[in-house]
Amino acid sequence: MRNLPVSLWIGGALVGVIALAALVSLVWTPQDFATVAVSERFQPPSARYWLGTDQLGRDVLTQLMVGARNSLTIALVAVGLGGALGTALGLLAGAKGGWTEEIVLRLADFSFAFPALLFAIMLAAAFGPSFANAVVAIAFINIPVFVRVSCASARQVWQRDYVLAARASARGGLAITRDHVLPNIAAIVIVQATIDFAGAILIEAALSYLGLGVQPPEPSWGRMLSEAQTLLFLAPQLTVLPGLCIVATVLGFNLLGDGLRDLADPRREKAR
Amino acid sequence: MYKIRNLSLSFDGHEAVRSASFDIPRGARLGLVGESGCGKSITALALLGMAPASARVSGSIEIDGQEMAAAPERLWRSYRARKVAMVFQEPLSALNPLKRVGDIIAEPMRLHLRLDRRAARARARDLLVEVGIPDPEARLDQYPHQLSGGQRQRVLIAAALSCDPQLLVADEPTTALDAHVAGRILDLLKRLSETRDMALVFISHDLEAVARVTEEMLVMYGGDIVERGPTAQLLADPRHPYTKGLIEARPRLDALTLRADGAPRPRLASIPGSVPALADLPKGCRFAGRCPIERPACAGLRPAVSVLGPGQRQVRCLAPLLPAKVPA
Ligand SMILES: Nc1ncnc2c1ncn2[C@@H]1O[C@H](COP(=O)(O)OP(=O)(O)OP(=O)(O)O)[C@@H](O)[C@H]1O
Ligand SMILES: [Mg+2]
Repeated sequence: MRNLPVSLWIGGALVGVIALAALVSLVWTPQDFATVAVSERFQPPSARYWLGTDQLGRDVLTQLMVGARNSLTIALVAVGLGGALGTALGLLAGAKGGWTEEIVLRLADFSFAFPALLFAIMLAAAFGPSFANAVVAIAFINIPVFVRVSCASARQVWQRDYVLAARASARGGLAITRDHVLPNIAAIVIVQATIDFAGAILIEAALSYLGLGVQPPEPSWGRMLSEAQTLLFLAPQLTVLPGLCIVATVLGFNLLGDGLRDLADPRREKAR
Repeated sequence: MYKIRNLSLSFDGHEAVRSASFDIPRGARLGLVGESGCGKSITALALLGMAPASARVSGSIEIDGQEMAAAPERLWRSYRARKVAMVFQEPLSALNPLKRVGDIIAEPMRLHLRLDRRAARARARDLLVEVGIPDPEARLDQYPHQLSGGQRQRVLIAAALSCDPQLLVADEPTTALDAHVAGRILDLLKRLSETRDMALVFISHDLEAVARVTEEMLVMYGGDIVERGPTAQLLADPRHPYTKGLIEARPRLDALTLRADGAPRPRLASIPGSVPALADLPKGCRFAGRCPIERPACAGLRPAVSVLGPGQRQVRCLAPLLPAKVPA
């Protein structure tokens, strides 16, 4: 246990708290997240409203918890979809080589050069703001990095003796990819996914901030920020709290990703 | 069985193997020696149609009359395991750690020979006996990490033999093993080749190993086959200065031990310099620049192959060495 990287502990703890809040919100929240009660607005923290209420009298803790659930769900589905598609393309390119690899990598480079956030905004704006479109947009911009990471590592694995041995005994490309390449690049892909998770949370927050993400009455951190920004001096906690949540989540996944990477490849830690 | 003509493999326009031509008759045992980077492994891989994807392959590889140099992967796959199989240097990295020995050996038979579970297992057991692994029944259910290095290499050999190939390519199969174990693996390879009438291409840095296993050898340098001939003759009487250098550079016990009279031990002879990078190899004779008997023309002119004497000996050198004096 002593040998686990510190970043893994801190990242794990941050992510753990947020994820726990999201999970709990599935079965219990302090208040109903959609209930608006103008008479209860700007309540200070109390036994009833642990973190007070906002400008519409909604319970802030409830909003944050359900917001966590929405953010994490979008990031999970989007990174999962984008990661699966990107990894599949990367594996294909790594296995085929030649012009297949060339085309796939050039396409990935092309979309990689495009600013991710701008691209997501374009997609969400073109197809209309919704939960599903936010997922698709974030999934899409996640594809290229997975293509590159998985293709580069797959190519290395294809050079190894055990792959040569498998080929020498007439195994086909699909069987080798399944039995040898995928298990060997899994760790790298998981690390990448963890780090991309942080980016996905950030982009989801930005989309919601711009009104292109989760639609009301479903709460989201990004929209909480944008709705409260005019009240920055009147009720600073309404911007600070969702802001802190975003920071904690992004930091948490970054640290977790770093820690996992060190765990997967101890040489890297020593080199730094 | 195998007929290779003018086989060239190049990376970015630089030839890593330069118009190699040789035959592998049925049951023949052929040694391939040379320093690191001279093109042994990629030549070996080309025999299975597995040259690196980035290599441009030209020339002809004929297997039982079928031209294979430009054959599609699908055709090559039907030849691998059944016609030609390969054993690698590092048995641990060539064995899937998550599979049992029995499954590793049985898998090719189930896939290619369509044997059922029981038949494949029975044959796997027989193969373990053939490669000299004691208590084969118990070994079938063990994992690679439970075996010793020598046993792993034997398992790898058994897996390679599972579909009765006519040619076994062994790329430095004993480099990862200690000398005693290595010797026994060498004897095993030789015996298998004899009893199965299976050809063997044996790649090694170790001239002693090549002498122990093969009857014919090719010496490669910088992608050229610089000398070839019957192994014993070639080692006793090298005609290419590179072959001579290799033989003299071979570490010998008497050169390493301190002499009794306290005199400085004789320095280990070695070929000066090292193999240049692919792009820096001379256009003419690849050995130019390191050759002790180099002539001005050597670097620019690729020597033709000369046939020496009545035997099958060939050397690619402008000025081959004279025959060694046979001690009376
Ligand atoms: N995939 C590749 N891409 C580019 N160059 C390569 C590739 N594979 C091999 N080469 C080059 O081809 C040459 C021959 O390599 P090869 O692996 O056949 O050497 P070798 O004789 O087997 O050496 P060793 O004894 O170290 O195994 C080397 O100069 C190497 O740099
Ligand atoms: Mg090699």
